[in-house]
Amino acid sequence: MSTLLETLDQQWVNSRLYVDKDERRTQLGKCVEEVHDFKIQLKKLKAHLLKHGSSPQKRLVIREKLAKSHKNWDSSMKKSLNSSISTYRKFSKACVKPLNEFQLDSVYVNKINPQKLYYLDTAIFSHIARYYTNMAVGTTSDEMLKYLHSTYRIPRSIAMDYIEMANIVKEMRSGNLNTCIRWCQDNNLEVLHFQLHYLNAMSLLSENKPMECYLYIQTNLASTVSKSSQLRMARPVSALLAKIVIGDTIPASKVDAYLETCVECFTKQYCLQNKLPLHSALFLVVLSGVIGFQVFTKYEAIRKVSHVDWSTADELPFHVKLPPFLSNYHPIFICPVLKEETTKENPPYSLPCHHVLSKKSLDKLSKNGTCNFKCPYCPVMSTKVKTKRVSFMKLP
Amino acid sequence: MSSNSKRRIETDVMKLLMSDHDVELVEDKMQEFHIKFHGPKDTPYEKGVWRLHVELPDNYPYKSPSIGFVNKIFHPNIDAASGSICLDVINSTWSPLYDLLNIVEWMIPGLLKEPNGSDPLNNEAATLQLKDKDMYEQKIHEYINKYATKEKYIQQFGKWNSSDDTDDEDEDADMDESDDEQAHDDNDSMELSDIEVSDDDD
Repeated sequence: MSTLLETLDQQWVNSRLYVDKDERRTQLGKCVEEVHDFKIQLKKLKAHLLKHGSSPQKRLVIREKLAKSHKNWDSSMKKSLNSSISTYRKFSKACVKPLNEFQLDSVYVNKINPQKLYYLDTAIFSHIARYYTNMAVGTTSDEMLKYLHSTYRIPRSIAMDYIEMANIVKEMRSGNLNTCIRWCQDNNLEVLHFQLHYLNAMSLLSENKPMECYLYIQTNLASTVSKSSQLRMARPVSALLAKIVIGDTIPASKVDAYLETCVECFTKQYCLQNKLPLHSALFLVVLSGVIGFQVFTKYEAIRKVSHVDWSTADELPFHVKLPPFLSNYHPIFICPVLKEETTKENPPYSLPCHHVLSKKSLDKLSKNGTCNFKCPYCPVMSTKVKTKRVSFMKLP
Repeated sequence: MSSNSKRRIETDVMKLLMSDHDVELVEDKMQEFHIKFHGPKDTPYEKGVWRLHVELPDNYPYKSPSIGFVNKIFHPNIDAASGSICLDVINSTWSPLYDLLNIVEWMIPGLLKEPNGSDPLNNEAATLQLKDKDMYEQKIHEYINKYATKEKYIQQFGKWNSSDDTDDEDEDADMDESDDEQAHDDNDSMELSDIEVSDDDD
């Protein structure tokens, strides 16, 4: 989830959904630093006072210094406070106010059918099971199932899908890859299998056990690398061997990073093998809503001032541009002339020049097949008899 | 008007509105309306604002919309008196793929950027454009001052309810940072020797 959000932030919105940890310097943090500095200053002055307290001249200097540093500290605190207040106001104005005033129901008129609420429940259960099963209390599957059921009322059938995955990931993070390796063997996943052994070899070397690492490579990786089809895997292994020869090691951070890569690959493979969605549908839908929110509020504002109709049911009057990972689930074809989705009643047709239009727009252009017409794209002349019905299929 | 045409018109108008164009429907019909049009940047028309009159035929988008300037503009391909536009893409080479946003955002700005002197509707403008650039631009400005400034627009058409000049009133002018420069450099009046202090609590 978080990786998705990060790529989204980098590539899609520049709105700083996620602030870089190092960059984060809040007003509060600044205040804490300044209070700390002020405290040090006070202590210094106190020490001076104790040392030179007898001299009235020095006392005067100390008093002046005290007044000065207090004044600086005070004005800086006030400044931070003001700036926090103004940031808060800006946030309220830009985000909270529109959120409170916004009536989703008046824009999004497609209500959820009560009979279909069941699907919503399922999505919520799957979401929790997908991301939070690893936090379940208990060590055995049954204990975890019980926990998920009593805490979130997640039915056994949904929780079951994710328990094995959560357990394997937990084990991987604790440094034990055996279950995961066995799982890969059972499912014939050569690449992941190789990656896991490679990870083991890496951690041996990082623990400064070059001999063990070498033996491990020989017993577990050599057979894979020697296969001609897996030649590209020889590269990382030779790098590892070279490190052993020259007596180099691997930093633990690199091993951890590679572990995360393996966890990610495993999660992907597990979901694929068990026909589970990689990302929770609920999360993706909510994310789409968050991205679309600004367009919704804009539409609402426009509708208040201008009297424009929107007479099409089951469709939003505007386009919400979403990143590909949110929009490539149900590809649709929109007729470029009618600007509406093609349907069974109004299917897509291709012209001799291979441009695709909907049937209804073809009827109009050809006056129901009675005359020739220009293709709207490339103005090549065409007739209705030369058009062909198009069906789309998703390539794997 | 077929239901497909109606839907297509609604889509187009909505797209205009959602792209921050000021659209005013005539008698709340979706087939006739006015659009506020700002002269494109880096052209002599930059400072002007015009009102476009748009009428969509019943068989839109198969047939092109009819578009004209309501307030006067000085341009070789636009009739000064009637405001009609001579532009191939909204006449002979129209394609139903185009929509209103295309017209307002690139066809008409394109025409203002590059007039087509060989096919004029305003002979005076066409001649000046070819022979006396300075005079030509002067004439354009003259027309803008006479018919197409913001004031003239409001005078003639009343409303100016657009979103494009709602300057955000930022009440919080950033306070200047100059006075905290000397905040930490008070150690230079070195009458007190430095004393090491630990920063943990007593």
